[in-house]
Amino acid sequence: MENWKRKYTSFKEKQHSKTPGARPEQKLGSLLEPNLQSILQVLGEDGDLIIRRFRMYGLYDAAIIFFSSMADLSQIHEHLLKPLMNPPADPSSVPADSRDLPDFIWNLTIHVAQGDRTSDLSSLPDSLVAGNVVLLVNSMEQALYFNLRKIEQRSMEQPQTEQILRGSREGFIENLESNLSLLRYRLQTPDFRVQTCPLGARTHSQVAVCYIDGIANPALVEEVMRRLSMIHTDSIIDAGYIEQFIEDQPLSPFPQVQPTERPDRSTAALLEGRVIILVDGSPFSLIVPALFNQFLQTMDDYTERFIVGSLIRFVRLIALIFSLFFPALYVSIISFNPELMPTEFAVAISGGRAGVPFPAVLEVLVMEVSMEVLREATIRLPQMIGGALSIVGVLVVGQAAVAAGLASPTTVVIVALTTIGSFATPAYNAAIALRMLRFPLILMAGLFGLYGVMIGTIAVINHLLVLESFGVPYMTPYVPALWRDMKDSLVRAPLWWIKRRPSFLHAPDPDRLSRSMPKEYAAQIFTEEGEPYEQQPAHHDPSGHSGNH
Amino acid sequence: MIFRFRRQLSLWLALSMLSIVLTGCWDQLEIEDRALVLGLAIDQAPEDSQPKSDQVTHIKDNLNLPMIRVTAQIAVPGRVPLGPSNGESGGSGGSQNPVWVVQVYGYTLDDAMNNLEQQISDPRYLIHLRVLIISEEIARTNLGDLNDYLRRNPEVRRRTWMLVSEGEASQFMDVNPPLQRVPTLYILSMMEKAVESGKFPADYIGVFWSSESKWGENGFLPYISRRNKENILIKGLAYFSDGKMVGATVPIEIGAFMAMRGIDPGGYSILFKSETYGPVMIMVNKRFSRIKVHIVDGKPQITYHIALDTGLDEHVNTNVSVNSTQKLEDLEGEFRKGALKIFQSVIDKTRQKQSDIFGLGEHVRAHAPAFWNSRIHSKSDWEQLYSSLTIHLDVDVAIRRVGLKER
Amino acid sequence: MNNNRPITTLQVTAVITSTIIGVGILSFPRYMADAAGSGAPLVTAAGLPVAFAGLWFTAAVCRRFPQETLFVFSRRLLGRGFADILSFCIFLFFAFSTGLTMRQFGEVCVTVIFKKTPVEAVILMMLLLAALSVRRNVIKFTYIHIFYAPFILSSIFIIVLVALKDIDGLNLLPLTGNHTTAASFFRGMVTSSTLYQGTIVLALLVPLMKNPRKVLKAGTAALLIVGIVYILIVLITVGMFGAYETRLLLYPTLETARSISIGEGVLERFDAIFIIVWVISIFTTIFTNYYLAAYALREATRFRDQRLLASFLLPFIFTASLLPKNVFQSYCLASVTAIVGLILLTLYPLLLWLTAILRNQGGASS
Repeated sequence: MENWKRKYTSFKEKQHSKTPGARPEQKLGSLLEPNLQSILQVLGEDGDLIIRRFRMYGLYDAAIIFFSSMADLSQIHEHLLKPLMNPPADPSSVPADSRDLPDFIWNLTIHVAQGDRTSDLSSLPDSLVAGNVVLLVNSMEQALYFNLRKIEQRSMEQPQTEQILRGSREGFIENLESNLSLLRYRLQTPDFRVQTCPLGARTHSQVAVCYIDGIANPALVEEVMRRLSMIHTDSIIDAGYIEQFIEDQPLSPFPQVQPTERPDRSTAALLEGRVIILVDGSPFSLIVPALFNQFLQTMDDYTERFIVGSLIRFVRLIALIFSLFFPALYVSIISFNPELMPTEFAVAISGGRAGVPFPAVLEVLVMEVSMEVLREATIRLPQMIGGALSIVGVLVVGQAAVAAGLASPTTVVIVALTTIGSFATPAYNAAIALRMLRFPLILMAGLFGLYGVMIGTIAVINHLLVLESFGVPYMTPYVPALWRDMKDSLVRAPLWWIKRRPSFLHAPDPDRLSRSMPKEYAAQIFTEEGEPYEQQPAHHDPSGHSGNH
Repeated sequence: MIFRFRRQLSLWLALSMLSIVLTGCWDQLEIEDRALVLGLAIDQAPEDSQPKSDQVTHIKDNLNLPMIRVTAQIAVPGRVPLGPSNGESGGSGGSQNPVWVVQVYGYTLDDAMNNLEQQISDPRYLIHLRVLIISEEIARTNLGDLNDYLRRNPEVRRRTWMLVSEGEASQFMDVNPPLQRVPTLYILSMMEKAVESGKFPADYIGVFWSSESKWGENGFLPYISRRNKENILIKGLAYFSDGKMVGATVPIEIGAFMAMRGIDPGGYSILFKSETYGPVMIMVNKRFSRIKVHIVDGKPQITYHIALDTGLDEHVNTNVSVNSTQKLEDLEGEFRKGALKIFQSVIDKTRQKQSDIFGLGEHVRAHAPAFWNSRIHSKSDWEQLYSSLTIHLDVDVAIRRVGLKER
Repeated sequence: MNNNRPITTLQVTAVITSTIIGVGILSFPRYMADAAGSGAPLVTAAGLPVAFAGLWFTAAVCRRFPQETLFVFSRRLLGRGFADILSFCIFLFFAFSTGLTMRQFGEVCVTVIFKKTPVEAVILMMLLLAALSVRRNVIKFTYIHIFYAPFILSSIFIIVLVALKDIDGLNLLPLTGNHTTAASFFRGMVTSSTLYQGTIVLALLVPLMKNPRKVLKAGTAALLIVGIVYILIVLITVGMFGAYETRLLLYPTLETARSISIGEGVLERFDAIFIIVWVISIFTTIFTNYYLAAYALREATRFRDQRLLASFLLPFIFTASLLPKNVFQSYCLASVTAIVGLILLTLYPLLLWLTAILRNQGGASS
């Protein structure tokens, strides 16, 4: 933590920081050709760099420069070239002084929303690679650039990594603007804030920090920005890069930042007072802070009725315990404490294992490792083959291993249960962490039996207890026990009962539900004849914003 | 950051190296490599066939201990099929014996177990020892010597059954009844089911030990005997005094004992000949007992109040019908007399042998501590007192039901 | 995020509870039965007032100085030299007691489940685990405790519930026991009061408590919980075996767990489950002792780096755990240490409290 503070530079400063090997600042000259040459010098002979020379208003030599791969050609034709090449209706209105020319073009000629004027020649190449179209005019000492970027993008699909039964089918895509639009569409509040800045000295990936003003704790927002500002790298390819730079404890197997593909989930996180980070080019948003609890939850828990949601969460917890402990317990019972089994079963199991040449640890380890290999293989394979392979892997290989005396039937059952259990954890990265922790536990079981498993478990739990994500203890709300927040933990209380935002996020506005409905809203919802749903309390806040205090 | 990262990394590396050094797998032993002893039978070694000592735990025979013969039943991995057996595999598996019966001699139980160890390849484990059968001879002489080993050894469960056999104990290791896959487990399930159906109290070895430790109580063990080839009969209670078996009851007296201790459910039926109704079978369903301790003239007096909830099971002589409350009350009265006789016989038997299996001394200790503190200073004090104890019996019988038949 | 006194009263209760419940739980019914036979529960309860006195002194003096730990304000009260010597004594006691607790733990493990495993390996594993966790600050220390406390308590209650049906009430009568003498009762009372050791951990927590004035309440609640747990354990153990049998058993509580079953043998052998729970409760006890040892040493020597000290202590504690030659010696040493601890941890806070009153220091908040 200390080094974060030492190297602190503000997020805003970072936005203006220069790329490595930045060119010295250079003013635009008044002549067109030298300016063009200077740009060409930087961008070299890129094949998709287009320089279109024309005569503006029939009076000035001009050129527009853009990358054909990034610009929207039809818009250039329609909104740049057409108005510029046509002489204005009143030729006399064209200013004689070339110093007034930029204003004239900007204000009267061109129909493009985004863009600006600049007299800094050295900034133009950067502007070009960002997808802008640059207009240079002879004798004019200012250049104009317009944002007419058009990048091919895929359509929105259902998120592959977070399938749910009930809820929105939309997922984030690579394009930042579209992702922001997905959020804005769900959060129609003026308090929704997006702060963007390019990160990565070479990639200039746009990183957006989103939060809701008045709900997210300013200290948290500041902390996020501070950590982002400390990233010194030349490339941010994906949100995962950001995650690795800003997480609290890189050595921990547990994720301390939650990636999600789902805009609805991000919105819900924002409304709890969390901050999310989006990166241009990545279909994942990062939710911070992320706690252990979150990795067992899905949107389904909230969209379904609360009883169903709570039950499913319990099932997930059981699955998690399965996947973590089953093989280790099996090993320790088989090789250390067979007295724990009922006698009939012990005699039968020893029969099942009679032909197996390996100790139980080795047997389980080999089976578990091959299961992991199988899992990895099925992810990489095309879907069609993947399904077939998993059946072959599980059924045929397992059966053959038993028949060949490499593994006992009970081991196969245990390994299968473990694997199935590990797929029930909704968060992929957390599931992987738990799956990997299983191996040290198996080893400990092989060394010390139940005692080893206990030691291993205590070590893992202690690690979880000291872990923090952005200053919030990882096991919140279980430890420290925050009773109010346990309404949304292992059980999911009815939504109308969860009246407050998670207290550990210290939201400036802690209330989710206002205690009374403001009159204006009531008037909007109910028709004139309709009876109001609820009698207004007499001591109603006159401002109408009883939620905010 | 980088510096701390490296430090932590090196710490973890060092730890994992250390754990490799620590690695021993000392106690690791696969279940199939353990010789699981399921049952033990302990006999006095017969005089004629006494072998020379194996000298596994000692060199010369100067121990002056009687030799014992231990018959162990060891599970053979692979003979018991995994999962519910289907017809085919059951048939082929049935031909092979799932247990291996080994006989060894030794001066003490531990000595014999060491001899056993010397004779079989896999290390033996008592973790699944469920049934321990001792011959009456042993029970009457040196049971305490056996118990010391069993109590010290953490592998032995306190829920093991210890049974006293009439005649040789080793004969029970050969029983191979068709009801269970593993012979010892048959004896185990027989005892467990006897407990469930009220035929026998839950008298595990731990319970026996506890009552033997108490000053005001003597232990008892199930007394079994072999009938025909495969059958085992629970023949009664073997009761103890001063740590030695002193006698055994008959089976119906187990019921009387359980009634006096108020152990549910009732599992015994009593057949008696009623004067008016002929032979009648009455089934005891519930037992209840309350004990009161009075000190009269400086001597404790015990008053038993026993209530039995019964049902009419069989009534052979159908000429006289049992169809009214009056008639049931007649039967109850006659039954009460019969029951009292059985109770009295158990009490007399145990009083004569100074074996307080009812734990009456514990009642005196609990309810009349002043008397106890002044008079009883060792277990034998109470045993002597018990033999002359006054016991009043007050039996209450209720026949509630007569079954489906009206008359 | 912006709260530098985050520890609540309930959390303090949890820390003390999980600290106290430790290695003694396996064998103490034997001592109690030795002292008073069927009056064992009474002896167990009789230890509470003695333990409460120690708690009261600690709480009273810590309440007067809610901003500092005991080790800091003792310097002002007693003078640097004397306070440092006593802090060093506390360190010695806790380091030694950690070692001996570990040894007792190792003995049980080796006797009951790991016959061939060297006791050193068992001890070292646990010590390493504790040493790693001791490197954290007091807040994390609290978190670790409050996570485990419910597990320890709930599993003990489950075992008690299962065992209830096997209890014979006769074994618990008469309530004062037979042949009990005042001397044996008093001895049992002292033994039982040493079982409630660990309330001194308050000294660490008070400066971080949200409401330092409630410290006595938290401590009392913890003592009551532990008292109930102990009495329940004695009740089921003596109730199941009878006092005479309990005296014969090395680890009566363990034997209780071995004797119970659910559903006529479907779930048998609770001893393994019990040992698992017990490993956790040992860990929490060791953790506190180790932490206090490291903390006291740090304060006594004015050393800054607790991480380094914790690692440095490890070989010493390990050596202490290997001192006893056999199982009887380890119990003997442990009970001597416990009595020394009882005296030290009761009288030292009393001394501080009296000095604070005489010199009229602190107490601004009380």
